[in-house]
Amino acid sequence: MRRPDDEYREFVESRARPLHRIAYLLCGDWHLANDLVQEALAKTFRHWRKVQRADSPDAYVKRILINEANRHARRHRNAAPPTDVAAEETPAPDLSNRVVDREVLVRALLSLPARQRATVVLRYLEDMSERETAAVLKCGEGTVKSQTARALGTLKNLLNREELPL
Amino acid sequence: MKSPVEQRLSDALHDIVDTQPFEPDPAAIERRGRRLQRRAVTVRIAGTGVAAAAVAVAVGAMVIPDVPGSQSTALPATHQTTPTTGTSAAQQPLVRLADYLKTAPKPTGDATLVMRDQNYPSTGLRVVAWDLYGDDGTYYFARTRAGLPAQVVGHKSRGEGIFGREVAAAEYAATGDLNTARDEMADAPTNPGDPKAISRTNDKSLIDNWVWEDSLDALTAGAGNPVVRAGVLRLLSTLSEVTVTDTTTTGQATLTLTDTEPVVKDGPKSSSGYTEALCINADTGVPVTFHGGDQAQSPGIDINYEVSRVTLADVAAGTF
Repeated sequence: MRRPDDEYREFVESRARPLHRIAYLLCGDWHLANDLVQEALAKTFRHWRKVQRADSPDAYVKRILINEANRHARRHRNAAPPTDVAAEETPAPDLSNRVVDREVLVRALLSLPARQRATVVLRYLEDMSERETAAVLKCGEGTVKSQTARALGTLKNLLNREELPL
Repeated sequence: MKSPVEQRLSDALHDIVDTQPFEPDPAAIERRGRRLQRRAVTVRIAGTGVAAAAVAVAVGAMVIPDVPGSQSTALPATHQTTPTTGTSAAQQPLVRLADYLKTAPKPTGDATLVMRDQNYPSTGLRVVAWDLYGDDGTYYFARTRAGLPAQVVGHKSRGEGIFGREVAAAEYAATGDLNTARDEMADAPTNPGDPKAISRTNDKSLIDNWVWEDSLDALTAGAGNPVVRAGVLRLLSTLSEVTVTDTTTTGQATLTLTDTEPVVKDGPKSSSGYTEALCINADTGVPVTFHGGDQAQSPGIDINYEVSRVTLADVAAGTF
């Protein structure tokens, strides 16, 4: 029943945008990303004292966010693909001297199994080390390595098929 | 050290997301978080039996046949028949009932005993819990009525004094300045000596939400005291988001007070309008039932309350 203290509010202010970016790459829908972040931060509020005591509050809230995204995906596994992906047609910068379409890259990302997708987002968007990624995903560093390798292989295959190589 | 492929992937991912703006809605997040907290505590009681945080739960609603020793005379006033909102004029049923209650005699006993019968329609789970609120600010909890004497004898008061402060704020609100009373109620959970929570925000809807939640706590904890109920009703009459409707519950005339959470900005999926509805006896203000849940999602929780006045000595002796 205690109020969240200023530290919580500062935490929200500082982490909301990075979490929003992660959420989008996990679900491919900006509006859903809004929801996932709000829900994850609300759950962080609920567990705030525990979060404060965690070795890494940042890792804690990322784990909550990833769990939220996975939960949503399980509930809506038969839903139509996210509309934001189709709507976004702006090309991304040159990759290997060729232009990668954002839509294709996001679709490729979304085609990955949930854990591989989360691994890729944490490793290559958040620039987290294998150890840090393992801490968020609650798995071993070896698992992160293998998941990363599989994900990169899948992405390369998918993007090459689209003539948009990594 | 990233390989060229990894670096290109990293650059591409950043390019996709880096320009997207996002402004969180801290007030909505806090409201949602507090409600999750409350639900979680309620469920924890169901699963494990205790937890100091159990205190926070008491929020709900109640169905109360009667409160021995308190008022029972019907109100002379006529209740409105259509939902009304927020202004003091529109909340007349609450103000009128509060005016009546604040002069009612205090009932016998020195503690209020509340039986909480909680039901979760989505899972079929039912949890009954017993709360004992001493007029001296103590709070005891047990899963069974028979378990309460040991709690009192062992001086196992819980709640960190929060309920006592909420009840005190409600007592003040019965006849005191409402603006001051709102501040006192909104900050009742803040530990004495800590910075006031209301000093950190100008968000009226957030403060209203605190007043609503803390007032429901006070109404439960002080259900046996008409002055506390009067103060709570005066406080609730200041909440523009709350609607008041004449209803009938298990054969008794009731008022249903409904507070609906605004839909989270750009987030109808995460917040479809969480609603809490408190039903009170129209003549006594004693809480009868409570419902909480998302409008478009699972039914949430339903609570029935039974309230009576007892003495702590009788409870300790097991003769209540």
